Amino acid sequence: MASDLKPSAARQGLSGWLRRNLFSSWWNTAVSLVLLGLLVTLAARLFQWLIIEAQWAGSGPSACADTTSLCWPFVRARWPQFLYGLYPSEEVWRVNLGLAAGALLGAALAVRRMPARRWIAAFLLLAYPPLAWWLFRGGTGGLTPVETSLWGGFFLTLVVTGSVFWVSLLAGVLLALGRQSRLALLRQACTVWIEFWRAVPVLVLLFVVIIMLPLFLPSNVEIDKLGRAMIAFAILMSTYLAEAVRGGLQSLPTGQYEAARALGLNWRQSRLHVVLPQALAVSLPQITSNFIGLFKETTVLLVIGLFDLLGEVQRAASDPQWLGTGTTAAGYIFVAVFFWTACFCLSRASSRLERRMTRYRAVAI
Amino acid sequence: MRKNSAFWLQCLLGLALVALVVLVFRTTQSNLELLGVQSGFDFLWKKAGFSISQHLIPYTEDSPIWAALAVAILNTLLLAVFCIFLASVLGLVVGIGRLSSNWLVSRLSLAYLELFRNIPVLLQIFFWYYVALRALPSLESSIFITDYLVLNNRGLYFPFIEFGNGFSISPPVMGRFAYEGGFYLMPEFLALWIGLSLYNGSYISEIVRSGFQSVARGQWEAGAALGLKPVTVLRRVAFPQALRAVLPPLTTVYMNMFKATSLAAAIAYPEIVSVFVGTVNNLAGRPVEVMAVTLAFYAGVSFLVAWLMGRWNKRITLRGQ
Amino acid sequence: MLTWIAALPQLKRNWYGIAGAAVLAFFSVAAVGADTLSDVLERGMLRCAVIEASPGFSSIDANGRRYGFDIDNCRTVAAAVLGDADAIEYVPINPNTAFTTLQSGGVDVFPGGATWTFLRDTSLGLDYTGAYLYAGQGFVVRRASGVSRIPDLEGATICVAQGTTNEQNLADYFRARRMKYSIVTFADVERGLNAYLADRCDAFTTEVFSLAGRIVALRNPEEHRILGDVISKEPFSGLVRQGDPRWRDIVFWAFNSRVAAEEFGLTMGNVEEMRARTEDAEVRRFLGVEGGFGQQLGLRNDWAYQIVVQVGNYGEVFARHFEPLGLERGLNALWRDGGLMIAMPYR
Repeated sequence: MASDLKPSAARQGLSGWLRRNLFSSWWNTAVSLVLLGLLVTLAARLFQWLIIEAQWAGSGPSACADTTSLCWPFVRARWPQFLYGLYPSEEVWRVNLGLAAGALLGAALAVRRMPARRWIAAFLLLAYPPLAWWLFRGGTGGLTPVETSLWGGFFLTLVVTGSVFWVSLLAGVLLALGRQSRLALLRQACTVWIEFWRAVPVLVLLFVVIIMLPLFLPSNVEIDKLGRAMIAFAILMSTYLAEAVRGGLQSLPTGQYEAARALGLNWRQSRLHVVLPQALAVSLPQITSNFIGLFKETTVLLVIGLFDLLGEVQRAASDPQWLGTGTTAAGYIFVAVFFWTACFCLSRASSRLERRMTRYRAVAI
Repeated sequence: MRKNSAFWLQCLLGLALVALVVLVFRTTQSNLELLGVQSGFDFLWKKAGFSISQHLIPYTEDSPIWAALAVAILNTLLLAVFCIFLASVLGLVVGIGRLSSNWLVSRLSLAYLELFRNIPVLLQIFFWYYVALRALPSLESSIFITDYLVLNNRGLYFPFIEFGNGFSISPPVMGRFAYEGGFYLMPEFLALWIGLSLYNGSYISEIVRSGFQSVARGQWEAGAALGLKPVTVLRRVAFPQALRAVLPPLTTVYMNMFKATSLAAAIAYPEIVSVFVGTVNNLAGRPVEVMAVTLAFYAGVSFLVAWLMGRWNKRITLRGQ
Repeated sequence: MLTWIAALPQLKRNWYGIAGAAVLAFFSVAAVGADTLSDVLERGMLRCAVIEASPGFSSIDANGRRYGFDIDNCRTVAAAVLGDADAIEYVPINPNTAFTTLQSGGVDVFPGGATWTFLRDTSLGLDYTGAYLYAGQGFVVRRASGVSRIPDLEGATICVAQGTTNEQNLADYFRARRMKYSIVTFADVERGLNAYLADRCDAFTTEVFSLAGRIVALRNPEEHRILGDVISKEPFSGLVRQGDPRWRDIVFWAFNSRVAAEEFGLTMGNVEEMRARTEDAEVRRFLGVEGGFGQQLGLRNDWAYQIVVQVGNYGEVFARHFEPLGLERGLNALWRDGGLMIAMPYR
């Protein structure tokens, strides 16, 4: 009979899907029902807290007279501070310009058929960071200086993440090569350096560098607090990245090294043209996950009195006029949504890139 | 010829390293001298003069600073152990949940993973501390989970064995300002415990999942073919094999969690960074020594754990082959 | 010292040797005696450490401008040294790292609420520049708690800022009276007070000036009560790094000038006129009309005039920041009015 050849109703359509995935046995049914019940209650409660019970209207602290319900006007009122910290409002265009340029260059790189892609990459890596710093910091070329103690918010989070990553990638590659060196002493020194700092929490290293670095340096050398904090982050980040790159280096078959030598390439040439492009491609997922880690970790800056995005929210929520759990919660949710979106997109992009890389393993970037 | 140049390069490198260390040391010394800061570890034997809210060993303001250090170290370890336990349980449950044939279970497990992994852990701790735990009722309207387990915005109170003459169990009793007797976990501890465990539990769940997936499908089928119950296959066949794949990354997450206990300095839990780098540093005015002690503690624990895990890893690998 | 550094380039004429020698040469520029005044003059900016968000002492208005008693202290020194009270780079610091930040440089002066104590003066490598405000440590409690005197706090949980004299005073006070208490220490005053407000603690303690400022600024100040008695005396002084006596003198005399101006009856409003017509020899020396006193400090002769005209005398500064908080002069009145403020003479 022809009808016997059709799949049974139990394997078809919505009901089939439900039966297979949620109610395949009495045990599964029970679990599904309990979870479903919990989920609906939780969602309803969250919806109430986030939307219905929350304060939406009004502008000043008086809008949130009830200090326990969520206070969205707070986020609106402190918006500029969340974005730029205390950066003078008449100079904010410099921040916008610098960040927009960076975003544009990054976007151009992401387009695969972009002409002169190599040059854009070189510009982004070599010329953009110092130019952006000059733009933000000012002091020369007709720009009013803006002290780094005024920097804050979203802007500071990006500056720290970007600058630290930029420095650490270079230092990390050098450390990884050092750890593979044929010079035993260099190898040992790099290993000890890496292993020691990997054992230390970022917060402790921040305190160490902020308090101790000036004692190590001659008294005529001064580095401001942001600079010191970034040095601390860079020390840690470069050791993490060194480990990531080392993984890539170890995954290369020895044939690659031998082939490079057979071609008569010297150490610098073989590393630059043969070894590193492949090793970096292999360790790319590791490198991106470290980047995401760094991005999240910048929040620790608030402990040492630098105001990144979370720090600015914390500072604004401590204003006695706004004080209350509803205000604090609104600020935190705002920051959480921001970080969640950024990190989620980054990790998705990274895994897509990884898939592409494995397909074209032979093609180095 | 090549050997020779390598030798000289190393000599030079060694000299440069030694010179760098000597110079940094001398500069530091002259800077400290210039500032008139004294040095030495003798401050550890001075009277502390400050109080610590949670101490697992007897401690008063009259105790020496080294006792304060011991209290802080024990507080750090207590937090780390609690976090490792809770995060492991969470990670195991969610990791197995990811592999469940029940769509809802696996999706919820994934949602947990993506939600907690992508939000900075400090923000999560702040959320628990400044929002969730602050919403708890005050002393007068405490929540009684049982008669002896009391929860309010001052913490979680429970009965505790009291060693006096012999030992007795002392339940928490309402005093004028707080529950007295028994033991209590302060809100700062609870916030760190929940925050760190949820965050790191998400990483552990991912490790657990890939650990189980690394166990070949044939192993499950073979177990089933032998007529073993799924639970038995899980316990006696899959788990031991997964453990081998899981151990190295798990060690890393545990170490990260241990290091992250230092975030306690951002709220007010008295662990080593908070007590030592915070209070003692200002009291004693010996920045170099205080930092050296703190660094030595973290480095020491890390190396000890790395060594132990290395040994364990070696043993189970050998036995497996 | 390390004479072999010079021989290093000859040891091996290659890139490594030269780079190594360069690094060493850089580091061997040994630390010489600090000269803060020249540094500040060269920079054209005073680096002043401030503790953030401390009403009455240091706040930021809606336009991002700083104001408060501490801020005016910074401005006093900047007016004296640079002639411009606003040529300041503010360096925000936490109380629990304040001293190490100062020790390690990067800051010229810290004028904010540091109690002058024996141990700090002798062991921290810092110099005090003279008391400019006399306060005491007090407590705030919720009115509903029924606490009216400090002894009522037996058994209470008390929030306090970490690494401050408050933390130690508290321990000393309760221990001396064998009173039980539990303590929660926060990184700064603001977090400690917020924890108290969120009912984490039964009381919060810090010195009364900043306590009053913070309580007045709350939405519901009437729910709280600052206890009448204090458990300590807290003479506040500016702080500078040790080992630069001239800089310490400058900061001391800059603060002294505001008290002197009040004694002389000089105010922001009348100082210009007084400079033109006064016959009093001490006032003339003070304002730089004669005597060349500024040069003795390495400053311009109108240094004190700049302080008075740009920042004001002590009474004006006090009134500007503390009167709105309902605080009275008390111990901080001039000596002739029964207070402790007395200016060292200009002769």
